[in-house]
Amino acid sequence: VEVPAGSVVTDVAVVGVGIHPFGQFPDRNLWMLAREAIWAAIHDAEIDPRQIDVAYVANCYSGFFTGQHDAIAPIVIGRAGLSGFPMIHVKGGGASGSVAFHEAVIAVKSGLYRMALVVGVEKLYVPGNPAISITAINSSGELNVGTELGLTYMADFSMSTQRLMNKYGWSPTDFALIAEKSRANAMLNPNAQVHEPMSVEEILNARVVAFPLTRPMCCAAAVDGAAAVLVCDAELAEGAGSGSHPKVAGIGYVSGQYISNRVEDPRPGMLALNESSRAFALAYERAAVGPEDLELVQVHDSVAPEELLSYQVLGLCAPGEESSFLRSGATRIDGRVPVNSDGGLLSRGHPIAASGVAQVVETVIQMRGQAGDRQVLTKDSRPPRLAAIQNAGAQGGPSGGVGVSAAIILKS
Amino acid sequence: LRTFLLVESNSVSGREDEYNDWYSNQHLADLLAIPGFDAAQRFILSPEKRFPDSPDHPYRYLALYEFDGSASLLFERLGAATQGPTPIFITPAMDEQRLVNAFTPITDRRTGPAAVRTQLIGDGLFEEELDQDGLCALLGSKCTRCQEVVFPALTDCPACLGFETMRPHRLEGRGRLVSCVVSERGPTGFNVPYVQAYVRLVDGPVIFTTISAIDPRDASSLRAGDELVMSIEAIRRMGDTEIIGWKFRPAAS
Repeated sequence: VEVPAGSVVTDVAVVGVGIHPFGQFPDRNLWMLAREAIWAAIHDAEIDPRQIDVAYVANCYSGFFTGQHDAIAPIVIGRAGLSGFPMIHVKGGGASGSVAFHEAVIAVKSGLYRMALVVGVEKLYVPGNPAISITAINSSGELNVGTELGLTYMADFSMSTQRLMNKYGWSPTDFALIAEKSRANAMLNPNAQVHEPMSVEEILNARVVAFPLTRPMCCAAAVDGAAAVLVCDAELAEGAGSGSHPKVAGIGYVSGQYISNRVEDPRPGMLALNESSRAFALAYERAAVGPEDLELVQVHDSVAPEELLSYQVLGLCAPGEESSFLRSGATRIDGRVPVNSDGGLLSRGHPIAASGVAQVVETVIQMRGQAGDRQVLTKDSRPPRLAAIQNAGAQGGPSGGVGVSAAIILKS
Repeated sequence: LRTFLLVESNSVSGREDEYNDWYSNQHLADLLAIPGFDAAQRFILSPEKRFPDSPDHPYRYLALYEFDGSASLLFERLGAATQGPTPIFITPAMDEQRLVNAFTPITDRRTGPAAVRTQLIGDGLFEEELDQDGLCALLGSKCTRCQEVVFPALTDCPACLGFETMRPHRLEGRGRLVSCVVSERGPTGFNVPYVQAYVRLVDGPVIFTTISAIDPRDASSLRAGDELVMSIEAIRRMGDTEIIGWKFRPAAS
């Protein structure tokens, strides 16, 4: 492969973003969801699709539902009418989307490829069979020491949450405030799965999934959706459309240890967030910024307490101050550092492998000032210029799983 | 809620072939097209009797249908299908004298030991035989270099990165509750609610388990630190196969 001179260790820019609404689409196949997001990203970037020279497709559960275990990348990309370049299928549980993004950034940074397509797509909704969606997601855990014995992620989270409530004095009202904020933001996002605002009281009184988590404090399992982004080197980015092209200022991706004693781990300790502080240490160092510089954040809130914990994990507040930081309004859409402006996993929805890519889509739209009713503005009334994304997953492992975590910092 | 519909009938004299053709090749399919009708099967009366002197059963044929819903809903749907603007065809080759009854289950479906196949949740995870204390054990490993104890068994040590330093190590099926929660939702094959928990084994590792021998509604009586003992039992059922794994129960029970 000929590496263009000077392009090695280039800046990487996000030039195109596209999304298929998140929700329940029993009449649409995987590729139908994906092609809409892919072409939206191509049109958004105003590029010639022939410029794409590598694609990463994140998808976890097609094999579970359809038996199509291999060939996901060529099917998803090929049925969008594109082919002829390397196509790589990526799986990483809930972090699949940002794992694919991470690979695309490496590909472009290396100079081997100049423009990479990242697609995250998932179908989990089966009409009349909610348990099958949970069973599918459970295949991300290690079956014979966890999920096949009856472990569910929501119950695991609830046990961690109970421990963190004792440690930091969190209350169910804190979780309800998070869910209320998430639903309010999603009302402003036409692509969100949930368009139903709820009051704190309604959220607290909703059906219990696993104490202390009520239904609106948990993301849904049965969701479909797709998201796509295009990343390229600095030179190609100059020729792309759609206004500003945020650069990947820093990225960190880590995975946890295969250990049996995670639940008594002295670190903050929620399954997916155990490793996030390490991922963010890498990303902050690589971007030469700190948490005080962030103007927008998307975090992995598969349950509301995860967002609360993320405030300390990302360094937005000191450990133990999460509740007062939340109640200060700093993370509301009109706050100092809005968190999950599109509704997050709770309300934008969490079709597992699509979520990480959707977080990039939302961040870029916000940084360009194209977010419409939910546009985040800094106190000097401009769109955010420095934004962070935290995405996480759990794959295999005893005691619930090995956490994998990604941190992405975008700068415009 | 399931309902079983039993239809006992005879053919009109001399038209048995016509009646059977209609029943097997048309009528079962017509009923299966009605929402809620999941299964249908026909039977013929056996000439053998338990009591030879008992009177003859008046019907030679039985059709058994499984319906997903109540008996009243079943008859409402059946009535609509047979009396609507485009009623399903009922052959005149069937004798009008017949018995149509709905039955609702009053127990779960139980099967004899021969009908149930069992499958271990995984190979080499636990001892299937109880030890002399009536306990069962998990099969883990221990590092000969750093003494780390892990479950499931490994060959290489994740603590000191020792190459092939792990040796098989029996983990007694006893431990203490770390945390637990009642889950109101679960994957396929689990009846909700059920209690999910982490338990620290007396030999060290923390493992996942569900809690048996306790009503989930009483789970609030469980406390971190409570003594638990393990049993090897059916975790869930998939069709005729029972998946065998471990559960823990309070030591006192």
